[in-house]
This record gives sequence, C-alpha cells and structure tokens, in this order.
Amino acid sequence: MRHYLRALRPLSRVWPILLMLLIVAAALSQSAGGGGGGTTGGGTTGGPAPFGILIPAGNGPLPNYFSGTNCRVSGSAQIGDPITYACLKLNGEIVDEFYCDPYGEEVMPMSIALGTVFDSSHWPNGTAVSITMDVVGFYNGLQTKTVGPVYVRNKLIMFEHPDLHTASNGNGTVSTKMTGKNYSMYSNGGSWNPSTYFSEMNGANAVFTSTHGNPAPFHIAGDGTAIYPSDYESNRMSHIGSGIPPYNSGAPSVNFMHLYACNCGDTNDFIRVCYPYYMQWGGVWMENQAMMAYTCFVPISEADDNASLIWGDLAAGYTARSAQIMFEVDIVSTPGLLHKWDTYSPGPPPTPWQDMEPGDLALFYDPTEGGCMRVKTVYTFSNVAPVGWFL
Amino acid sequence: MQKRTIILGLAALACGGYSQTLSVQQASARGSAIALSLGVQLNVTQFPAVRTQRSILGIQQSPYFEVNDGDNLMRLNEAGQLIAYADLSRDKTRVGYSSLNRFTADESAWKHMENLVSKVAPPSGLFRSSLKRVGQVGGAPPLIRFTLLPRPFGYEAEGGNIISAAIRRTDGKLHSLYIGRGWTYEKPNIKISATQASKIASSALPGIATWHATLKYTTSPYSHAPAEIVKLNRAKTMRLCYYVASQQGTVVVDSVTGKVVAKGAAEKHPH
Repeated sequence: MRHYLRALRPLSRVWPILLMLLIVAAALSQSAGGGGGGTTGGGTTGGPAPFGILIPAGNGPLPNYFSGTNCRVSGSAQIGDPITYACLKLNGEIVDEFYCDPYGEEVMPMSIALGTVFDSSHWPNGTAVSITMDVVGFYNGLQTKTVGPVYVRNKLIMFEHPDLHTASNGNGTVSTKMTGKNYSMYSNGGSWNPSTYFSEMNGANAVFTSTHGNPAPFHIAGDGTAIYPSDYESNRMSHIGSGIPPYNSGAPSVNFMHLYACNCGDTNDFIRVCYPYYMQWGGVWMENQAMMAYTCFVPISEADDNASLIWGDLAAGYTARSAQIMFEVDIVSTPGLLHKWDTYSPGPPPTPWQDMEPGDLALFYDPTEGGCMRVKTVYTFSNVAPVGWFL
Repeated sequence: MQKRTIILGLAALACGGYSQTLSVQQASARGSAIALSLGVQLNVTQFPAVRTQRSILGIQQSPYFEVNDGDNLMRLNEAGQLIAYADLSRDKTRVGYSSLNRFTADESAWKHMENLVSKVAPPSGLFRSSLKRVGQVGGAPPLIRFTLLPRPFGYEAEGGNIISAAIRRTDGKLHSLYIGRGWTYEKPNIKISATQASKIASSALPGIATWHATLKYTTSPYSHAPAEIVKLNRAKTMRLCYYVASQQGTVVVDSVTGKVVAKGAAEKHPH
C-alpha cells in the first residue's frame, strides 16, 4: 500500500480527478451487454476490455447445460479498483479464488480471471446451478455478480436383452453401483426396440448395453431387431442438433458406453455413439469420451460380473483406462473369475470356454487423450486417482 | 525400542492383522527400482506407494502396494514382488501407429519379452503358451501379446502362475505385464471318466446332445462353488477338472468328486 502511494506522490493533486475521469470513461464505454450479462457478447471487438464482472470470463456465452465431469466455468473482473480478493462460486460453493495482501509486496492487480473444471454430478440431475463472482476492491469493497442458472444433465441408461437380463441382470448391477451418484437412471430389460433405445439415449451421457452381438458388426435390440453403427451415428446426429457441445441445440454428448455383446469390440465402429467427438473449446478428439466393448464371445450369465468390475471402478471416480487395467489385473490374479470363447466353433469338437484374458475388453479412446474419461469426479486429462469434484 | 517393537508386533498379530513385509517407503523404493529395470521412468518420490486391498465380486483380495503416477500403474505384493504393470500414458508421439515392426520373427519377440520379465523374478515352471500380434484396437497401439503358463503334470492349466505381457510392436516398449504367483497344482487323482463327466454336463445344461471333454487345471473363486474347490482355492491350489464343451456352452466338472464347478452358455451371434 505504501509503495503504491509513493509512486503516486507527484500526481497527488490531480490523481483523484484523473482516476474519477478514468472510471467514468470506462463505464460509459461499456456496451449494453458488456457489464457481464453473460449470455450475449459485448465490447469484444477492438477497444478496451469490457468493464465490470463478466461471467464467463471475457463475456463469452454460458453453456446450454452442465453435463459430465468436464464442465468449465469462468469469470473475469475489471472494476476500476485494485483487487484484493475474488472468488468464483457455484451455488454458493467456492471453486476458485484469489487473494492479495493489500499491505504486502505483491502488487494488487487491476483485473482478475478465475475458472475451473468440475463434475456436474456433484448435484442431482436437473439442478439449477448459479454462477457467482465476488470481487473485493481496495477502495470500494465488495462487488458481486450472479448469472444462470445452467441446468445439470446427467443420465445413465441401461438396456439388456431379455436373455441376458434373465441370466445375469447386468442392469441391476450397474444401477446398484451408480446409485447415489446423482445420475438419473433408466433401465429396460424387456423387449425394447431401437426406437425406445435411441429415444432414451437422447439426453443420456452414460450407457450400458448388454445383448447379443455379431462381428459384422451389429447387436440386437430386446425385440431382436438389428442395430448397426450407422444407426448410432444418425440418431446421435439428431440428438446433438446444431452446434458443438456444450453449446449445441440438443442433448449432451455420451461420455461413456459399455457394450457387453459378442465381438462388438472387434472394430471401433460403435464409437459413433460418441458423436460429435469434440467439445466447443477445441480440445482433443474424444475428450472425456470412451467406449468399452469385447473382442470375444461372452457368456450370457456374466454380464453382471463384468458390469460390477467396470462400473464399480468408474463410480469410484477412476478413469476408463484405469478401470480397464484393473479389470485385466483382476482377471489374471483371480483365475476362474470371468470367461470367454475366442472362437465359438460348433465343432467337432466344440470349443470349451476359457478364462478371460487381457485384450478381450477393448477400450476405444483417442491415444493422445489417454482414456482419461470419468463418469464421476472431475476430469483431469490424466489417469491419476480421483481428486475431487472440481480442480 | 526393541522391546517396544516386539510388543507392537505382537499386538498387531493379536488383532488379526498380518505383519507387513515391506513398509510403504520400502515399497516405493522397490517399485522405483523395478520400474527402472523394465525401462520405465516412474516418479515414486512424488507419488508414494499406497497399501490397499481390493474386493472384487465379493472376493477379498490379498493386500498390495499400488503406485500410480498417472502415466504408469504398478502393483507389488506384500513381499515387494511385481504383480502388475501398465503404461497409462497418453501417446503424444503416436509412434505406435507407424508401420514399423521391430519383431518380424516371433523368436526375437519372445526373447525380448523374456529378457524384460527376467528382471522381475517371474515364477518358475512356465512355458510359452501363445503369441498374438494385435493390430490397433481402440486406443492401444499395435501390440504383441504373450502368455506363459504352467503345465503341471503335463496338463494345461487355466493360469494361476502366469505371465501375461504386451509390448509395443514398433519399439518393444512394455505396454502391460501381469504376473500370477504362488499357486500350486494338486496331483492328479482322476475318479470320474470323460463319459461320466459328459453325462453330468448334460444334466447341468439340459437339451444339448453333443459334448466333448478335456482335462485342465482350474479353480473357482466363488463361495457357491463346491466346498472342496473353495477350500483348495483359498490355499491357492488348482484341481484337475473336465472342461466339457458343447455347441451351446461349457460345464466344468471336478475330476475327483464329479461336482459341477462352473457352467456357462455363450451368447450366440445373431443373424
């Protein structure tokens, strides 16, 4: 503080007048939306930076929803006053903050930007989330701005062919593992058709499907109708609408799908469920997206055991790649745990089953992304252990 | 200090806890040394080993040490032996996707892998079982996968003591390594014939006419398996069983007691 005042001594008479003029000029230059309306841009082409508290930072648009574990929020402030403290809050919880000792060595900034990545399933599906930025100026004290709400959308769908639903009920296992994780859930183990399947997928960001598969590839619906990768693509294009998540006109992206069906992991064709594969901010391909499927014949009676291992780790906050590795460690360290057939020759002689092996559960992701998808706890773009609900 | 240590140790035993062979710090150091021997740079000083225990499908596993620095995941058993390693890193260079193939001959691939694994005290008595060249599957680079299995008393075994490894096809870098240790295999004591086993299987999965039985060492980790198998499993011992296969499924039959150890019907490819 003393250092600050010493620098101003030569202007001691005119400084207060100059400062007042500066503040008034900045306020007058602020466009209608530039005061941090948050939903329309303003003052962003040429000229001085917008004045006031802006949420998102730089006066960008708010996303259309918060979905999944890779949600982003930001705020910026320039209030014509040196800033000693600022924080960003979601529904009153602080997710980022800044503090500068006004009497310390550090020079108080005239502008500040805060932001974080967070897991939207911190709240139940449908929650209205307001974003608040508090800024404390050295001379003028606290200013605050709140925008929103933006609604949380997290939904898990579980579809199982009646044969597998009767033999092992993978749906029930996934549902148990994901209970209490703030995902709304839909389960169907009956004679569902493709129309019902894709209708419920519209708005879901996590999918478990357990059915009969074919390496062509395709798998069947509960009523026996074939569902092809192209069906996923056309339906997801329709669900997403125009624009790129999370600013698109339609539903959120699917972050994760676990497809328990014979040989549907022989190719990567079913990653079409992850359309459009990118986020609006232009990150890597399949950022926070992944798909698991099998490169072997699988027993109809072990869908629940497979689901328990995979969804148990995902629900605990581990990444898809970590869950795949732990699955492989489990099957090697515990002989007799899960089974498969590499080939299902009718014979003679017919092929017996054998223990599942590393490589049988394929994980589809972008290698430069690393398979770091999470359905629970914040996305960290790495395969470290879970770190919490925000960064 | 010595007296205090003895008292604490006795107290730990009295409480039913086992004595820890390695400390967490020792496990971190051991993990780092093992990683270096495998050609992996593992920063364990910043990411210390965590002693933990995992329950899978209701089956409590033995405690282990885990190191995860985000790029590498490693597990050691309580004696400090490697039981798992996996490369979790993002493939920033995409070197795995080139057309290079360092190991055009299977023998060179085997020797490279065996040389790597020899540095981590693998279990003895394992034989080369399979080598698979795998193209790009999902996000993984093109790999060569290896399995080494025992042949107790000349029979096949469903793992137990096992090495399952994968190296990158282009440069031989280790992608994953899983090691099963500490299993024994009961001496053969076959009291059920193959024909009897097939009849037992047809009762377990009715409506199927054609069965084919082969003998293989196996186990079941599930509490609902026959009592003898459960008891042997807890002692990490496998028993020789019949794998009775049909067009529609498999039934595993205990070659000593004739009890059904496990059974499963496969999904069929829809048309």
